[in-house]
Amino acid sequence: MEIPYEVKARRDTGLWNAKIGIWLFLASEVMLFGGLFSSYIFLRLGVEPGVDNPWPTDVQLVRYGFVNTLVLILSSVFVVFAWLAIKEGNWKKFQAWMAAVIACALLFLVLKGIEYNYKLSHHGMRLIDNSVVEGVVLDKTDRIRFEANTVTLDVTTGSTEFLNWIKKGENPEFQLKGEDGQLKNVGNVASWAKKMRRKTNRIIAASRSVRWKAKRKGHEPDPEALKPITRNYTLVSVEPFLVYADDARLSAYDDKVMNFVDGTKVTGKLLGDSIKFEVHEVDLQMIPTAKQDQALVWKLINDDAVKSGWNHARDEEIKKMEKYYLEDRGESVPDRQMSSRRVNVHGFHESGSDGHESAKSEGGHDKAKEVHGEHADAKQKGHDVGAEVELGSHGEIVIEVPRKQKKFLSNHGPAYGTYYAIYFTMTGLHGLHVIGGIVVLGYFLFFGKALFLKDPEHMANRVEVGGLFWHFVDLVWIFLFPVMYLF
Amino acid sequence: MSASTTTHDKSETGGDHHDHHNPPFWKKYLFSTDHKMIGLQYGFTALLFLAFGFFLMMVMRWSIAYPERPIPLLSELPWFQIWLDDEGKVTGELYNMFGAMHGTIMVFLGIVPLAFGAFGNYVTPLQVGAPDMAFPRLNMASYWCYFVGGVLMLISFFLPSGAAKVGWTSYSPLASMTDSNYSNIFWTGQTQWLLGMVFLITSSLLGAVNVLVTIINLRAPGLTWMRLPFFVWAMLVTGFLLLLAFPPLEVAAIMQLMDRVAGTSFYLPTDVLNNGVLMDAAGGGNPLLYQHLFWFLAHPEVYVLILPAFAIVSEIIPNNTRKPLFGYKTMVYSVMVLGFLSFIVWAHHMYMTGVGASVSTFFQTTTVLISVPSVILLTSMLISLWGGSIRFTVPMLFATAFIPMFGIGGLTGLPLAFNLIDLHLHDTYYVIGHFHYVVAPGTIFALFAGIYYWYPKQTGRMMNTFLGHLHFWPSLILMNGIFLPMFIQGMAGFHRRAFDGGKAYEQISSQVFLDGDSLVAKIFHGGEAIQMLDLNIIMSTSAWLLAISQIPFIINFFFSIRFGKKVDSDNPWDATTLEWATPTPPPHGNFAVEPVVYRGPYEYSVPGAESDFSPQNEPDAAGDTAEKEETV
Amino acid sequence: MVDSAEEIEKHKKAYWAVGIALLVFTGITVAVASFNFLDFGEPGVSAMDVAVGLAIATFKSTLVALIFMHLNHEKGLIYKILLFTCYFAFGMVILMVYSLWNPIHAAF
Ligand code: HEM
Ligand SMILES: [Cu+2]
Repeated sequence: MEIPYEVKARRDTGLWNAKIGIWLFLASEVMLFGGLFSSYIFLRLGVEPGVDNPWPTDVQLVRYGFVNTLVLILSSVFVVFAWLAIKEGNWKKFQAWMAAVIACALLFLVLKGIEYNYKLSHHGMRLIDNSVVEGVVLDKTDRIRFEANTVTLDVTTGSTEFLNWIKKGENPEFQLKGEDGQLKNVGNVASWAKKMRRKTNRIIAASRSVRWKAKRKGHEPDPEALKPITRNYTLVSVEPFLVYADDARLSAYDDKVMNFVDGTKVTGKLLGDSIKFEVHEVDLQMIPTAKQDQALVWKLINDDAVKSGWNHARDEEIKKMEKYYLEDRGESVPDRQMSSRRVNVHGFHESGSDGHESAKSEGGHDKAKEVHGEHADAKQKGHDVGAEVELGSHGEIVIEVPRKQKKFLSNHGPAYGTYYAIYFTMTGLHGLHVIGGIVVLGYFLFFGKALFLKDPEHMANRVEVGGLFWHFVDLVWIFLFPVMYLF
Repeated sequence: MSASTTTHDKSETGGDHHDHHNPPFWKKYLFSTDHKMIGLQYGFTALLFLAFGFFLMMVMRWSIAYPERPIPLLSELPWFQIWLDDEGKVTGELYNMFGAMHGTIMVFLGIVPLAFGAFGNYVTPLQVGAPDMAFPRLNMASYWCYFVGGVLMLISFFLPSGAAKVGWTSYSPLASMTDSNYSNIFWTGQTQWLLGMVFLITSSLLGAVNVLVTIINLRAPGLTWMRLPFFVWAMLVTGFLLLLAFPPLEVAAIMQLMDRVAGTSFYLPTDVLNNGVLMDAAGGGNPLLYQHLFWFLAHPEVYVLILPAFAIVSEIIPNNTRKPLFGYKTMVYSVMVLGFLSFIVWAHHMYMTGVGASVSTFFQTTTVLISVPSVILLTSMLISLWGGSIRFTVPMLFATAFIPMFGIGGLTGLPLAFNLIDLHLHDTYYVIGHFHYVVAPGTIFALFAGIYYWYPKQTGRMMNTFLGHLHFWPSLILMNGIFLPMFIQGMAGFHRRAFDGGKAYEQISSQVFLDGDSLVAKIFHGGEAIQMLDLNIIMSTSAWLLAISQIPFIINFFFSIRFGKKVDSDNPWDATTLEWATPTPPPHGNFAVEPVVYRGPYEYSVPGAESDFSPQNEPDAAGDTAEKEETV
Repeated sequence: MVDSAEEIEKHKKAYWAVGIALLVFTGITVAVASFNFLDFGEPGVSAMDVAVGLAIATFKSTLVALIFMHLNHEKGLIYKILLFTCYFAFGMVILMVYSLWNPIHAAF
């Protein structure tokens, strides 16, 4: 059986099957990315000033996006040349062009990876008064440090949340007090919990059915079935072990107890819960200019040099705005331009100079400076006040934030805000398309020769279809680049 | 009339020139690329899911009718007890879970795969005279994606969290944070629901591309656009709806998945609370974003549920009235307009979310507009009956019942289009009644009709008529027994998704439906007033009886494979369309000779013709060659 | 269609030209966005910047679609499919934004 119009075009539509197929597929892709762009617009326009986080517009590594755009455009050009090579009947040339395409695609992914990595290794923290600090969490202090010795589990949930948070390298061994009062090793806690869940559920079920059957027949149920059923079991660790828990997964905690959301109770001793944070930038956009002096960050930073340096930078910014609006245009400055943007606090603190030296060699810091290059001129020498300051690995000031004063803390990953969410989702999906393209085009490159020799026209059709997909991937990026990186 | 002798035996001896004489079992039945086998795979899987969805519903109906009694049978099963309360009664949690999965399974795993996957796959290539789908391997991939999606949904029942519980609409922010107390958020019902949906969507997209290309490019010579059977037109529009409406749902599902697994806040507003505690999320998102994306899909989706039903019914009606379909061209244009408008009505599901007056007005207007093409379709079918000498075969019974049943469903939808009325009726049993009339006695009846109608094509035997009647009449009555009272309850204010059927709401449950001195109450209720709540018992009893009345169908279905009456030709219904010009059952590659089409799809009782039907591939006496030439 | 040798040559020229144009316009977009003296509208990101950026992006993608994806001479059917798609995609964006701008507490 042969399916018609696989290679040759049908007369009335003028098209072969796969050509219609790929365009239909691209139509659905248009709707996919259309949905994503709609979401982007919806989320961005939906930002309510003063309530939601402002939409960030200056946080991107534009350089990477720019180079990636160029790379994708070039690969798009190469794809058409690969197709022309097939049309000319030149397999060697086709291979060369196609290899270039795939090289570009791989380069794109590598750059993307570097960019992702940079974002994922930087943090931002919103304090309860909505002032924001950006920088790096030190020593894993985003977690609550706890020394635990006993664990009480509700086995009917089958959930063993606390295991996820035991410090790496710790290998606690748990024992359970049996009915005879003897301590018994439980071995692997997760599988023990699963077993207990099944067992307890069976007991619960049996007791229920005994009770309601008795009720239906109108006599007293067997007293066995009325006995309370144990759901909570307490495991005792042979030696105390360290738990570094994410507070989002705790429903409550105090000096002695941590309650996980799945109902697990871990008892022991709280070692510390404050967050050590190396501050790169201070962002007070959510706080009206007049109140910025009282912002919580300044109590935490407790270094007047930094504060006044920051204030100075903000005032410069406002002056610039006033010049632009009042002098050049004769309008008053709109509110949204009055609040300061994020200001890089590097070098504001007193002992900044040597911190600066030591930071230079660490590399990471330079990038941060470039990203916020437009504020480089705001960097002013601070006044000579201030006590000893601790400096982090980037040579910046380190603050210690009590957990109660933190509202939200995350790395600059998708969780950090709706912008980051849509950025990672869209570029991630786009990246998956790139990978898909590599697979398909790579298949043509390495396994296409047989078909090329047998039926060059069929091969040309295939390359055309693959190329159409590849152009579409490029086309999406052409929009993603300005939308995500530039504004 | 070359096709009127049966070619049944010939194809079984493999006497044709097609390749793969004896493919191994797994290739023939599991990983087949033959569109008919894939259609059957779709059909069987979907029927199983329909039955499962029906079972879930029966449990829910018990809880609604008798919230104070333990659930029979299930409460005897020891392992099931954890989902019941201490007295063996259905818990709210279980009700929510079964409700959400009933909706999901019925819509995405039952009706769509049966209507578009099974009938679309089996019949479309035959009707356009193609040897197979345009991309047979993609077709197989489509089925297996569907299968994996279904399996994920089923697996989720056995997770500690149970399956998804937040409704088939899966609204955020609830859906973004539900089950977040389980340590492994990945293996929770809602997350698996989302993953399953991603597979189902992929499957639908592949299927849609395939059907569309087949219709566009593989039509037999002479089969011009306006000679396509209406079935094919409806499949074309359905394909476009699936193709273009599903991607936004995919976006919505992916973003909800991100909310759950990656901690994003696409749908979480700033400072959102979870169980009274400030959620650890950045916020800034918008739950309405989810609703927009969801309903952008889900309104076209209801046309995906109903257009295949129109497709099937409009094949059966002309065949059994022995006269052409009334207003074929109008119907074709209507169905296109319907598809077109269906993308801009979605926010009529969102009147209650606080959309403003001008937005409401816009969507209200488009919604009323879209009822015009729907009514045209329905009216054309109705008029097609006029003056025909109708053969009331079993498929025809179901097809005729479809018309008033869908009519009730459609017309009760009109009031919902209006913002003000919807504010009262939104999320009540009125809405449940409305769309169930469309899908249950509507689409499902049409699907039954299709099964009875095309059964002889695959098996070479007819289904039993007596059992067919035994299936049809109780089903018709009971369907109305279930869904008609829902309108009354809904207008009285009964809220949907209430696991005790509204009993807990004193004001609602004390409402009287019929006074004690009314005749009905005197006869059936000993002179006591009949309350609104009593309707729950009527509806639930009807639902369980409906289950029983499907037994004749099941018996009929399997029994007739071996013992049904043998057909005496390839075209037992004396139909005109191309699928009846194939051998029985159609072999791999379908047609013994490549068909050429000479005429429109519904040339029944053509004056002067020697029989009362003129198949599309039957050449006219003269004058055809020229036309064939220009319309290849 | 590209079947003869000279047609292929013609195509090659066109493809290079388009490729270079795309690269140049990318540069322009970045320049406009990052240098203050090229800033349109207000300081910072303003509606004007967005309009200019999107206009350039639209132009670039039109080039890709027309030349690389051969939409400058395609069959009618493909145009029809794309036309439908655009209608739905734009319908989605516009109506969603419309509903965002018209919440229930807004004036009619
Ligand atoms: C004929 C048999 C059917 C009966 C008796 C039935 C009954 C029900 C009941 C009792 C509910 C729950 C109402 C509530 O608590 O809110 C429900 C919901 C629903 N049903 Fe059915 N149903 C049937 C067939 C179908 C079919 C064929 C579909 C296919 C589309 C379907 C789709 C739905 C949907 C989408 C919901 C809403 C689920 C939700 O609340 O999230 N049903 N049905
Ligand atoms: Cu709707």
